[in-house]
Amino acid sequence: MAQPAVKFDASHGRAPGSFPIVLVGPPNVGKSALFAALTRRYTTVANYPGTTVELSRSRLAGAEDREVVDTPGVLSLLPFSEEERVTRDLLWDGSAVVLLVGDAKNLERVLFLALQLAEMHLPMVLCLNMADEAAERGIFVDAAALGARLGVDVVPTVAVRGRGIGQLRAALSRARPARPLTAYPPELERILERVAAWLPEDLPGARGWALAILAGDDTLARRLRERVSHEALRAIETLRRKARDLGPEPLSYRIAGAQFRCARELAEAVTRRSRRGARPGPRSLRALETLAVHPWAGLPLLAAVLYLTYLFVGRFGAGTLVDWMEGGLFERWINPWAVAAVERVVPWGWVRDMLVGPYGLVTMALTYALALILPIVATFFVAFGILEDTGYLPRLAVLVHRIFRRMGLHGKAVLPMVLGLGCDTMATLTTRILETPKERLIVILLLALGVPCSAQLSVILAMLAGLSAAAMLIWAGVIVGVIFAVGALASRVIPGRTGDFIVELPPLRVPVLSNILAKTLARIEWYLREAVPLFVLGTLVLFALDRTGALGGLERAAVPLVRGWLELPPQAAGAFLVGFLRRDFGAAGLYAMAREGMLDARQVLVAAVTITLFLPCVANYFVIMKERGWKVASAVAGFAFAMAFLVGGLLARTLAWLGWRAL
Amino acid sequence: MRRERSASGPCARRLAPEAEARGAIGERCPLCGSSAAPEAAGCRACALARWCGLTMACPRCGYRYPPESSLTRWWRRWRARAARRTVGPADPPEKAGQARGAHPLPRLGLGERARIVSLVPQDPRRLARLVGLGVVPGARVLLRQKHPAVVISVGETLIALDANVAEGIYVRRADSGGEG
Repeated sequence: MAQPAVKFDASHGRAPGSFPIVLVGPPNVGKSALFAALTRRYTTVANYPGTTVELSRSRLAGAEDREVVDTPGVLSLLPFSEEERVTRDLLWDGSAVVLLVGDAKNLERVLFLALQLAEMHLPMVLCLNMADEAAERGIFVDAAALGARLGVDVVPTVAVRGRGIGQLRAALSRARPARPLTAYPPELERILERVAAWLPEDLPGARGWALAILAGDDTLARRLRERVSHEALRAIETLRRKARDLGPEPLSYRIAGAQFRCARELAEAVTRRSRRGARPGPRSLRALETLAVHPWAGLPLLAAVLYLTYLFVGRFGAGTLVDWMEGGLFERWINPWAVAAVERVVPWGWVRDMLVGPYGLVTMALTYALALILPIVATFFVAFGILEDTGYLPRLAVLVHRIFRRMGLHGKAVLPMVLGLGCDTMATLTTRILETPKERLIVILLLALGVPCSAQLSVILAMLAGLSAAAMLIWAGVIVGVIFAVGALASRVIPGRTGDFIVELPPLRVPVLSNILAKTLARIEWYLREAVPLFVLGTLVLFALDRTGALGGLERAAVPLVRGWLELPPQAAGAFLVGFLRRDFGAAGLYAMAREGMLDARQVLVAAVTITLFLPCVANYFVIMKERGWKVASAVAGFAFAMAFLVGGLLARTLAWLGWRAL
Repeated sequence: MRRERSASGPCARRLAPEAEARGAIGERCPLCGSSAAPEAAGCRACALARWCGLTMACPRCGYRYPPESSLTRWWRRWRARAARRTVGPADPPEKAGQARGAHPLPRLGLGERARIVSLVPQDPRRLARLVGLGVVPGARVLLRQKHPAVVISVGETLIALDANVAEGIYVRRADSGGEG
């Protein structure tokens, strides 16, 4: 066979010691926790599958020239989903050391990946994480025996507590390809060998390539075309067709089936189970596990979870902390001090106004961002972190599955939607855990339209708290109603299909405090970096408009819409204007108006509904643009804008017609 | 089970995927009996062809017929369901290799254990995900609940599935097969 002109192995001439370490493993086995332990840098860790949606890269702590890459969880390396493809492409370059991470409780699933990696001839180390959980369940894996069979180092670890990390780092220098132990059906094996023979000789892991080709991996075929002769391509295609005629099932399934069978046999041979039915962990948790997904017993639990979250975020965060920060710290200390300081130091009137005036950087931007919103965002992140780490969220997906089916979605879509209650921008990125473009688009639309982020939610709750429980219910009813109506409509209008609902439910765990704190800090830092500049920018824009008199003009221009249609005072136009930057900023402006008594009960309610449904914030808009292109982003924004005013106006009319007053 | 509605207009009437997979209940061509999803006939000369959906064509024999009305469909399905309730597993096994005594997973009782016999040919993506989660022939499953989604445990893994996915997983009760 002719040698190809293109060099295959990018690694030639480089020692494996300098290869990047790539963390690979099934979802929710603690790759990100291990990544953090190896690099001493934090990436988001949570107890639900799909936390990592992008590759994150960092340097190995103590050996800074060595790169470590964290990848999204994969079930298989014969890729079917976007994450699997990303991971596979990273590995095919042939210059990586794989740190395969698995969960000792589900050994066969990680061995399945190990066998696939073995065919790809990649140097690897197998790490069995969560060794403590397996031990609690009476499952013991003989790491030495497993290592001997596979021909690689096997290291048990508990990444969240930093156990076993030292041994793991030592083992990484001994990484080597595992033995391809899989026994395929003989006729398949023969075809496999013949395909591999057509591939160039210096290609490492030719069998892995051959398997991927047979399994019908199209992206791979494109890469292959550049590198092998026409004659070889045709021969391979013939073989592939021949293999497909071997049986009724898809070839990818036959291959994966053979690998899984081998993985299971291997797992059974090295696992010892002490006394059957050893109840792991606290008994109450195991009982909750079943209860949480129960068709009707799950609902009171859900209500309790929601109520506790509300107490913590709504009462403690939005009430106590905000009063303390805004009423105490800012109103009493920082702002008077800043005003006094500015007046003494700055001689120019307009600079003074810019800093401490009604649209001042200190008095408006910082007060809103740090005193009104930060405490609430922080408490929400703590609450959400606890929910994530317990593993409750995937169970929530099961509970709402039925309802979400009506919207052309399935239960898994609840994860980005709940995350959207924290931050819609982050949530939009998480829509990648959904399989089909249709689902992703619907969820992105619903997030941008009607899911208020924690910052906004808190301000709105604070606004409505001054009214009555009925006002709160009307607001929630309208928003949920709009979400469902738009979702149901979108699922009919948007072409495409819904993916399968197949979700793994992780065991309920008692959250580790340090992880929640680290995660909350990382998210608060992220919020400050993203939101504060926008608040400053928005305030500057408002200030400039106010100075030049354009604000008055805009308010007058918006009168028909704001006053005529929504029946709000014209000053509300200013709030909606900054709402273009961030909805919570707009909400904060409306809240300030409500506090000053400029809005009556009905107007507060209408304003709250309108700003909830208002445009997504600028950051969210950019993320939508990145994910789906500017056309979709603009369409979503335009739709949200029209919908917000439509619903707001209709509500104003309906309430007036009903003669509703804060009951 | 709810029928999945296609979103792309009346012409794109298709069978629910689970019915397609089993080929047992569902619309069949009145002429040749093919259970393949009928296509919109698309009478080319007609200006209304894009919206009408009044005529369907069998992709195998090309025979044209009006689509079933929702009322008759409901009636037929109701009858089929009633028949299944009384007769027990009435669906003929799809594949030649399908062993006797195997039935779809949701037909197990709550808390019953079974061994997976086969996954009927489905979308390769779905198969790959199931295999990756350990839902493979030979694996032991325990059915934990059926609503609002099917929840099973396989080994130490707890998995929630939509009912239509679970319908494609054929199992044999732990006590009725040769294997324990």
